Amino acid sequence: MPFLIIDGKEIEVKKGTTILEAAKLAGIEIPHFCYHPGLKPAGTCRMCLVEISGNPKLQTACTTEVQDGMVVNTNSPAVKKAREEVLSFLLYDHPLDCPICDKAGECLLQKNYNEHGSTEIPVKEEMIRREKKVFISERLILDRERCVLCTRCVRFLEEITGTRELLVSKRGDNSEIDIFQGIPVNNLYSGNLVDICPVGAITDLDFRFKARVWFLKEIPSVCPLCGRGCNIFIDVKGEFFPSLSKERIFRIRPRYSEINKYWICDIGRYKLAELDKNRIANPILLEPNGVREVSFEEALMSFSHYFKEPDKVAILSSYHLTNEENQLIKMIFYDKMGIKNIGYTGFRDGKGDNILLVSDRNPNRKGVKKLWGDDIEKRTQEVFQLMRRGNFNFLLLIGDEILEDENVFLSVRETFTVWILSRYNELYHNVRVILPMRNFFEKEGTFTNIDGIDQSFSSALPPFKNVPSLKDIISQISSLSGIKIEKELCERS
Amino acid sequence: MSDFPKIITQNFDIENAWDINVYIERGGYKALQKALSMKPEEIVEEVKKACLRGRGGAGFPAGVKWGFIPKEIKPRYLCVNADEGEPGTFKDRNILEKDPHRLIEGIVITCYAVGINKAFIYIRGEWRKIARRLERAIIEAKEKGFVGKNILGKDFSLDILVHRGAGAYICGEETALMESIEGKRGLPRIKPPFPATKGLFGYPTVINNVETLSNIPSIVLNGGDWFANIGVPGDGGTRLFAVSGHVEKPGVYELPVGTKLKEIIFRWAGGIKDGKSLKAVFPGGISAPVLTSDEIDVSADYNSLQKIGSMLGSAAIIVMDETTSMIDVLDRVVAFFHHESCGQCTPCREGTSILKRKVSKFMKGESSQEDIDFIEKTANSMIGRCLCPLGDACGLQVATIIRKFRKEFEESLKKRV
Repeated sequence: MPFLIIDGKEIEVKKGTTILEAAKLAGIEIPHFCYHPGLKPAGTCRMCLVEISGNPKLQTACTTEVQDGMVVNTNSPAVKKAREEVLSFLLYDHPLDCPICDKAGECLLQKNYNEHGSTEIPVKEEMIRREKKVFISERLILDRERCVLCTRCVRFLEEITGTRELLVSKRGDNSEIDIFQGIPVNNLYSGNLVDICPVGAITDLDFRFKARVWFLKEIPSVCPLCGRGCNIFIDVKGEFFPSLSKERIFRIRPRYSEINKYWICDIGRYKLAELDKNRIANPILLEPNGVREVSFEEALMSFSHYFKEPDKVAILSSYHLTNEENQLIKMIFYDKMGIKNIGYTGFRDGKGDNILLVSDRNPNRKGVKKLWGDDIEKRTQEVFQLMRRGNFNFLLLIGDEILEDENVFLSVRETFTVWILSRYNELYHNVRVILPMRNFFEKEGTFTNIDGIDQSFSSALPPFKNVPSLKDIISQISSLSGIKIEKELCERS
Repeated sequence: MSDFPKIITQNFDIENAWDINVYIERGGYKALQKALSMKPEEIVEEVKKACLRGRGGAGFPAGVKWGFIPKEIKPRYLCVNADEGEPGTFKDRNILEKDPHRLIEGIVITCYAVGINKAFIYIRGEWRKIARRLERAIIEAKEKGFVGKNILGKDFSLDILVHRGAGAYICGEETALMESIEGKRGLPRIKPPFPATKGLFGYPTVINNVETLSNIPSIVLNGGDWFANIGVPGDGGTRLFAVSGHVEKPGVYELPVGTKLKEIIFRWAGGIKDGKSLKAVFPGGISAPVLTSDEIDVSADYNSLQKIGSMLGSAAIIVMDETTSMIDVLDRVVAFFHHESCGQCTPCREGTSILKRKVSKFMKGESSQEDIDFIEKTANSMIGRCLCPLGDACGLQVATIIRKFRKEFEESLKKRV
């Protein structure tokens, strides 16, 4: 293991570690643009130049591997001067449109300039003007004036997705990022280009001009849209959010973890916020003579008597529920109330890839199997068969996602059906009672991902119109049905 | 006329020396026969002894370079750098035009010495005719059994491929050249890894200049010590000095390494044209920092020129007389580097761009004292910060021109007022 000294700090690192990474381990940050921990180093921005004893030329910290006995100085006058001058080069033609740039506040050019820039103002000729709005995909916009040509985007599409839609075209100061042969970026990971762009050169229609990042609050969470369980940040309104915008969720961004590294797929990024659309605020009774919003009490009273015959009750729940919610379902409905016909279903399988996305589009199938046993799928099919035979008087559906399984709706017209869900969909009018519940953003809990890793998350948003949590609903059902649950039992789960 | 041997140019005055029969008549391919009877290591040893330093510009000792090739990894490649693009340089094209078999013989011996079975000649794209002549020469050599399978009955085979460039100066940089052969954009790679360990297609690669390899046959025939004795200590043999500009007799002169720059210009190239006086010299192409007329009493070898802040480079001597405007020179220099910068690294891409704009402003007569300072500052900001030597060379050249001829720039400001 090479042993080296960086700025007087002695550190031992693994062979093959670069100076930049070794410095990071020693708590020393070396400024950079083209280096990204998830990509191979390019060594082109020249921002990370450092001094190595015995070497007359400054070397790029991102590409130079450490050697035993190396003495590195990241703070010498020569290094400081190099940083200042590289920044002056990059800023010479930079449009400085930070006031309208989405990246402002999390821009590496801003950050590096603040920390390492020179305040000397150059005598400027007319700037080179470049295109400010080039669509490189349906939703990604390239601003060539802001671009620092770090090629992170080009390398991402080469190394991670292998789709190679972007390239550097032309040469010298005419160099520019462009789409290859006029075919726009089109892959399931394109949104990452916005995150990895160190400046505001690639922006996202989804977030463009929506908010200043410093007014947002980032909530660490776990993506629920497939079995991988990628770690994410949900960016919501912060405390001092100045605009009247009705948006509740502004951005979904990857959060580093061993599971997803630095990336997330576009499904998680762009589809997740849709879970907060078309929300149901109040319970609804759908009666032959009309549809009306009612209070929770009235809604619950309309079906509580069915629980007196547990054999005639079936429950179909969702792979999107948390482990805690599932434990409660098992404890109350199965153990206490004696309802044995409980099945699970969820979103239909989609197409997986060998990057992150898996075909199972449910976040917690593994958790359900751990709790109920591996044969839960078989048992669910048995419940469906009994439903087809008309075995039940009452059907309780839990979760929005089960709408994708047509089996669930085979007998809803003949059976009194209650659906606990969070948003309207095209099938809701088939049931008799609708109970609104909190959605993914409003609850906390744990998912067990496809590899069996438990991941907890907390709520990102306050509940919509004070709709209750699933836990509250379950405990109310049970108490109305004459089953008393000890309070602490409910809280424990 | 001279008491030193001609190595590279010995066949230059012979008619049709590019024909293999003429070359063989003049003793060609004898060195190959001798080499094949030697052990590969012995050849490498001789070349090391010869102190043959690379003729492309960087001046790295060829034998040492060959010694860096790791023993256990195969395949290995040889890249022959025939992308002569340095402004002022026209020596390699003379070799390729007049004596291509000397290069081919050098290539075969080198490949035998290093254990290489495939060589690529990366030739400047503009030289269509020369490329054809070279290809013909390779076919001739193949027919005679000097190239191809089982060369001269030995258990050694070699394929030589001619790859034509597409006109980018940067592709003369060794790693950009490899990228270009691989079919990619000609962008220099970051070093390390060096080509000797990870070169063409990721395999160990020897890359040498045309002139360097053309010296190999004579070294094998006459021995390393003979070669080393011609030049100066540590820098053996002769150089092809390509003299151009304001001299009476511009052309390629083969002279021992270490000949005085003054002697080359005034004795061999016939002095300054029309009896004018000397103003400035680029001693090694446009990348070699300019020398003033009182700096030319210097020995033309790598170390001596380095000591006075310039370099021998590809030994292309560009001579400028008293009528030359250094402002025009700066404009040409900056225009060249700006046009040829690959744009990969920040200091070179932005530096050449800013210099171009500032110098154009100067040319239009819109500059002030501040601009001269800024040009110098920008040039200095590029030195030592770039990914490859192109940007560094540009910075160094521009900074040197301003430093040595500052007065001229300042006076030009005054004239305009």
